[in-house]
Amino acid sequence: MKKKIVSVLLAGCMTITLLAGCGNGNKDAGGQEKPAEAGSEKVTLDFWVFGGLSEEPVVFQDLAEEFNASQDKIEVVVTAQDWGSRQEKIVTAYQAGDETAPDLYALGPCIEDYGIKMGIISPIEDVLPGIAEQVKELMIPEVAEGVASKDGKMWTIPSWVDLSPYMMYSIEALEAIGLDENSVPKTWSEFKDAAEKFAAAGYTGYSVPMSMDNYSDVNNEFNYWNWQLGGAPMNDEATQMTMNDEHAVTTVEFLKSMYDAGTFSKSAANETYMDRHEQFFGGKCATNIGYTYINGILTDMEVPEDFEYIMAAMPVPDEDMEVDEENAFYRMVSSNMEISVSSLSEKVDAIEEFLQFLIDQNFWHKWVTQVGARTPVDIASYEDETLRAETEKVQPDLVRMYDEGTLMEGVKPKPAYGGVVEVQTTMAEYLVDVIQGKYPSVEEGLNELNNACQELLDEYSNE
Amino acid sequence: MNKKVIFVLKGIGLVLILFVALFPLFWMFITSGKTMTELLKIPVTLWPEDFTFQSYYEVWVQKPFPQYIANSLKIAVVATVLGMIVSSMAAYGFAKFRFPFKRGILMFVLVAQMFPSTSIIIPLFSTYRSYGLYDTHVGLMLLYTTISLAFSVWMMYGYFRGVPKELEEAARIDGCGALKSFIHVILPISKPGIAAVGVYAFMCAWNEYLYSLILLTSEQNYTISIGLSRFITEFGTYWNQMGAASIIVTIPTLVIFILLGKNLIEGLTAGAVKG
Repeated sequence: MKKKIVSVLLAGCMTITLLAGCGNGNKDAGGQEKPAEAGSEKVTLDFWVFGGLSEEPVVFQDLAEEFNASQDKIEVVVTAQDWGSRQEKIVTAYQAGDETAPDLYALGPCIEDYGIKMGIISPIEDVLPGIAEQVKELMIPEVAEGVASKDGKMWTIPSWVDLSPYMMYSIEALEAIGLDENSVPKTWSEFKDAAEKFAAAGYTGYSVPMSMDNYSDVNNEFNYWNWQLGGAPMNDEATQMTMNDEHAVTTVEFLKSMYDAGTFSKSAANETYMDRHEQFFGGKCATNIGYTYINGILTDMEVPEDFEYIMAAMPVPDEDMEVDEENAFYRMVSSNMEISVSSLSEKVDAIEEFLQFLIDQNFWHKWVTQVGARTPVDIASYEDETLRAETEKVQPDLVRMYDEGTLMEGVKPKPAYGGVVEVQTTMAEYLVDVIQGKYPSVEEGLNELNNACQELLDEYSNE
Repeated sequence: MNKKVIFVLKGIGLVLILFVALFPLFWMFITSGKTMTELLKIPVTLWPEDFTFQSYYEVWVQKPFPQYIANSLKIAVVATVLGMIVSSMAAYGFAKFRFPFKRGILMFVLVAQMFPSTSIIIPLFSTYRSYGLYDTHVGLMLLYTTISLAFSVWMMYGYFRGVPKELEEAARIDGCGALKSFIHVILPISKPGIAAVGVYAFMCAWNEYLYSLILLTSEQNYTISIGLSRFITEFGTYWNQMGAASIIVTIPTLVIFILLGKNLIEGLTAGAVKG
């Protein structure tokens, strides 16, 4: 009996120890809150940077080193973290308390999830109003007010944005059909006409990469056109498929008409988005839908030095096409590496000093000079004489669009269509079949697609 | 006649069990030899139309998988050796000595096994960050040693209790103290048990995912479990490469089972009976 009591007591002690280990680390032995920054001790700022192209975390590491070398009160430690494990790492660090959680994050779109829902980050406008004011003055307004803010309050400092899609044209191909960089197709019908002429001139005019190796590219190609009509694959709640509405039918009929006209490459069914990139930069394909981070991909690709291309706005729907103006958009904006302040950090002064350093260095411009990809979000990269010249070397089309006033025109945040992979793969499989004419009509094919995807959506909703 | 029927039925049952056990391995293998296009086809194919080793090449040459395997091997081997040493010494103490609260402490060790790993991940993260063990292999080695300790102690405890007292007494008569008799007498005859503990500890360390995900950040420190998860990307899952990587990762475990399988079974069953 005595042994049993002892066993139970020992088990109980261990349980208490386990729970104690999860306690709040904010307080000292006397139960008082610990001071944020000790008088003369060096303050360490932990800065977690998630994902990005290989050069991007290096930008922050280099800047942190420069900052650390410029003063001796604060040390910024940058840790490059894997994008895929951000959820586990951030939530664990937050739950572990302020002593071991990082002070700053460079994170993807995070206001909704990590800010509003979980309270892991605090709005910069609340914590550092002076910094927020400066950023608003220096940043492109649509980015500051759109991507970086929620309900009028600035939460984060985006390092860059991606704008997509754009239609890229080979200058050589344009000239072969009597066009040039100033006379690229403006409408869907002009584009189709040009694609047919490109095909007649020996190029792939326009081709949807239809390999199931990257099924998401098939869906993206559809969406890029369909969004312009105000269409979407499903409703905002991701409960109802809308792949057989009038916009989807118009879009797929358009894509199919180009397939039937022979503008697709012979092996389009087995090609991926990267295959099309290679064909475009290899001079075989006249057109290519691209994004502003494409330069990052190009660093691994062999692009002939004399290859000239232009990145232009996507062709827009013809005037006689039905467009849902309220929902239509031409370009989506997505941001990443949004500098966010941890809600647990009390090292406000140190964070302010570091962020001020980044702003004084105009760190946004590093994505022109060091990374060579993405869309710069600071006004100076487009208006300051020296910086503009550097931006023009890397992203000439963005500078042109900025001057035209079209850089952020019709831009919307990237839509999210739920996380059901089977819906995405099923949608892609059917789209490929419909485009290739395996159904008597586009409507019939899209009806079947819609029903099949709806079944999957319903199944996942019920689980 | 009845005996024949029972024999056949047993055979069918065994074949079914074997099928259930081996089919996932077979599926993993054929997945590794298919292209992504074939993988997403309906109906599925039971053998690749054109078996290719391209995925193996991509995993081994184009991805840092050899680095992940080297990391996992290093961590698993050290954790296994440490675990075997600590658990066998602890179990010997429990089996052969009398001390106050022995039973209670043994129960304490068993209860430790029952806590789910997610319940301690947060304080563990905090502790590791505070003590500079975050993103280190040493940290994982210590952690994996501890994870397998409870079961290993219990298994060895049962095994040591089955060792005849007379052997130890003979060693004592010859002048051996407790440590010498442990090393020169008890350990040599406990090889099956130690092998079983070693295999178990190795498997725990080799397959572990959650702790390595949370406690490692640098790519050069990643283990194979994290490496395997990286085939699931934002743009899709590279099933064929994951299959190839899984086959590669299974090989060390297979080798260990082939070499130590007999000892493993003997050690597990001896511990189970005599515990």
